[in-house]
Amino acid sequence: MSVWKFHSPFLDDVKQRGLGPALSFKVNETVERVTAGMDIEDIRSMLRGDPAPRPNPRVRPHSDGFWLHMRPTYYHNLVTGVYPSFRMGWLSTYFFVFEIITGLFLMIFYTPSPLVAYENMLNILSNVPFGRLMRDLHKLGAEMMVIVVVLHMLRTFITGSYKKPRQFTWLTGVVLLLVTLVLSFSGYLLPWDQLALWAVTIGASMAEAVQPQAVGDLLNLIIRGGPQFNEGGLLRWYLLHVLALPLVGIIFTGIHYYKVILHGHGLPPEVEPVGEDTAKRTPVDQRTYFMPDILTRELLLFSVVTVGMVFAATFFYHAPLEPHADPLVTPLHTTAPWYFLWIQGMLKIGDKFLWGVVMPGVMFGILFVLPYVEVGPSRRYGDRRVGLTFGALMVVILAVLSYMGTPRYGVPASLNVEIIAEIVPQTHPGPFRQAEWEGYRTANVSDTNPTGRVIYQAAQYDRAPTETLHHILAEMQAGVEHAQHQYEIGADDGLKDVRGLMVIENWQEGLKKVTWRVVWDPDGEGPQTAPTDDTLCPVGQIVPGEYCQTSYIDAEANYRQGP
Amino acid sequence: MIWRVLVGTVSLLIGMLTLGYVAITEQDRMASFSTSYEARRIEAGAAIYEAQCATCHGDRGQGGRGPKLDDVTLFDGTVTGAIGWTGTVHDFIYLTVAGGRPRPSEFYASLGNANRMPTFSNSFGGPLRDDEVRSVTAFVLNWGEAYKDANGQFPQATPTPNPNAAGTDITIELPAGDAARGETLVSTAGCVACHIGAAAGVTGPAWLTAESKDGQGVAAHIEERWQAADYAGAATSTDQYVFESIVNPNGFIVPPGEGATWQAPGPSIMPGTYATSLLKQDVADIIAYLKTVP
Repeated sequence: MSVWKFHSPFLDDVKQRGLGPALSFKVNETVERVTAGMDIEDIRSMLRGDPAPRPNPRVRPHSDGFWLHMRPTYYHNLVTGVYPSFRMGWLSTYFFVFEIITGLFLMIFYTPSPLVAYENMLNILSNVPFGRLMRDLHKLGAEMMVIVVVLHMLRTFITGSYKKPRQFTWLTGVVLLLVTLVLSFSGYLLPWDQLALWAVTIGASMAEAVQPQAVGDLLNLIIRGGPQFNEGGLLRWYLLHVLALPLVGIIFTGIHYYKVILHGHGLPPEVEPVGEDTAKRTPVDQRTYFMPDILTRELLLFSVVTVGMVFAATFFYHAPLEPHADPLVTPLHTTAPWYFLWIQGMLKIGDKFLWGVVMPGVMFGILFVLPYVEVGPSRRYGDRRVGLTFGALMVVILAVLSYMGTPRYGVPASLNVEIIAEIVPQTHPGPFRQAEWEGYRTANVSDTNPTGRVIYQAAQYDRAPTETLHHILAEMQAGVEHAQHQYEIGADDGLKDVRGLMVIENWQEGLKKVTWRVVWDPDGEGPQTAPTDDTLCPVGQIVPGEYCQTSYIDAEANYRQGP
Repeated sequence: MIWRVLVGTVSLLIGMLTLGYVAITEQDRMASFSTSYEARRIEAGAAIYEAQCATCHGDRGQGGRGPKLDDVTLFDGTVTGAIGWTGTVHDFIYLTVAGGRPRPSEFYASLGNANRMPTFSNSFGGPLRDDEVRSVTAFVLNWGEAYKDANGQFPQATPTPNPNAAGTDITIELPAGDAARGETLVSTAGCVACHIGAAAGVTGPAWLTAESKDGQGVAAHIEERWQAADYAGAATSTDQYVFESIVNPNGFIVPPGEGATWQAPGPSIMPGTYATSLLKQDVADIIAYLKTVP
């Protein structure tokens, strides 16, 4: 008689049946536990395409398991095609998870401090294997997520799927839309480059416009973390980006998914009797079970989209990185991210508070209450002409407003500055920096010309000695001719007798200095400065009829490889 | 189903190939980014130089109110050697841009530039961020590229660190010491701040017999310590013991106990820079002086 008894059902089983059968039984049992209800034979039968046995073991993971309890057991045959969902909801979740994974990777190499944030970007790009890929994927994924979420909302609106009983699902969706937009926007600030600082400055300046002024000042202080954007502001935007918003997103995605289980996927509007929701009454012969059909389709979509993203980020898309943030240097044209251009467009219409805060607030407010106000029973397109027209009108209005948000609309331009900014923009490399360095030909160095200075006239781009110079001078001449044209048609921003000049000098070993000059006739009394005049950009003086800017270009700067 | 599996598998294969391509090219890409970013630093530095530095140092570094910068002597170690700077030329320029010259440099005064220079780093109230100071430094250093020969070396370079610097090898033969010069040196190199006077016996071991707790001065201590049974350093003579204490303060710390007149609170707080900032002759002179301390 033993003092204690050793319990091992597995060993007992081995004794009884032998090692082989006992082992395969144990493995099978483990698989069944992991899948919450399907053993090896069930899985093989499903993958072979056998009809489901009765009782169907393929529904057990939905009722017993955690992950699949968030997914319906079966879909109506009519909702498994591309129409009516276009897979936009699934893709929204996909990109949310995609952003969390790539974001975690980037967090490892990031410190939210203005002192080192930009250096962190350089480190990710120069010293972290797969660092650039991860950064590009994260940025590309963010842009895609905004597109997909907006399209998902549009689709839901068009098919009338926000109507009873799915009102609350729509409301959580609007919350998720806001989370997506603010997530994307808050990520803008983190690299602490010029793009970051000025895009977020535009956002904060809208909060400042809130009335009464005391509230606006307070909001502004909260958003900036101080009178100036600095370490305080960066830290709170970082925490918003990596903690608060993802948390809200996860919670509301859970609610959103739960509501889909509860109400089922809405059928295409034309197949249902008006005013009825038959999504939960799918006839047995109309069912497509999640396993295996939907599951394999989603796995397919997953691999194709992921590979597409990796491929795009490797070969085509690189996230921009502008110069270090500098509160003292305002780039020539600062714009909000493209999905907020419509707000920037509205700001150009009139009062900052009315158009920048109240109107966007009203628009999102309408989105929130839409399903509770628009309670017409029919989801059919033919019965919703007014609503659909209104929706289409809103899309057109947003597109027009977004155009108005770009620098092309309503920004008083100084064409002398614009001519040069087209060639050497402050916010991205532009044609001058991306061209072949050797093409910027200088003269031989001599005692009278120690820097090998050459003055090229934009008008004579046809006679440029190199392909590079031909290209750059032609770009400059295009801007010059536009300014001249504006003068001839009597526009305010036109310049009379305008000429463009490009002066190239050897400045250091491997470094060339280029002085851009735009000269024109400021008062209609003939040209001020002869084009061959050697006094270039006198420091600290403003000469009427002349605008100068200098650029430096290093032989090894290699702007074509991306940031 | 077969199509789904097929397309999914093919796309995963493409994905793996793409990642493999990234993995193979990643080292080159990172190196290429580093090179190009250094070049872009020079461009940024050139623009800052034009705005902030050119009025005094000349638009092409030819000098003016400030010293000439486009000059081989700044880059090949001649200037730093003459000043007594023992670090790199890069650090010298970086420090100068950041901190300026609170009083005219004697060296440049002898060349006719007896002017002061303002600070430029915003750590010291100047206008530039640290990355901008580094950019200007990269631009100024880039003038040196023109003076290098085919091997990337300066023809008459003064090597840094200085070959006459003391170094950390305590077994080398030191030149004959001069106790009188050593006495001056312990004041100018900062030794006396901790070893003589109020801080002696508190911050560092006391040198003077009158200030030492056990009634023995440093001359006696250095004789005894390296021969003591519990000595764990590398010295095999009195001279080497002092040499070690100067260039490698943590080489041996007297353990607490009967013989100790002073106990270091953990690792030594003596600066670890004397191996490069003192010359061999300096060390020899200080050793000669320490043997005579009353």
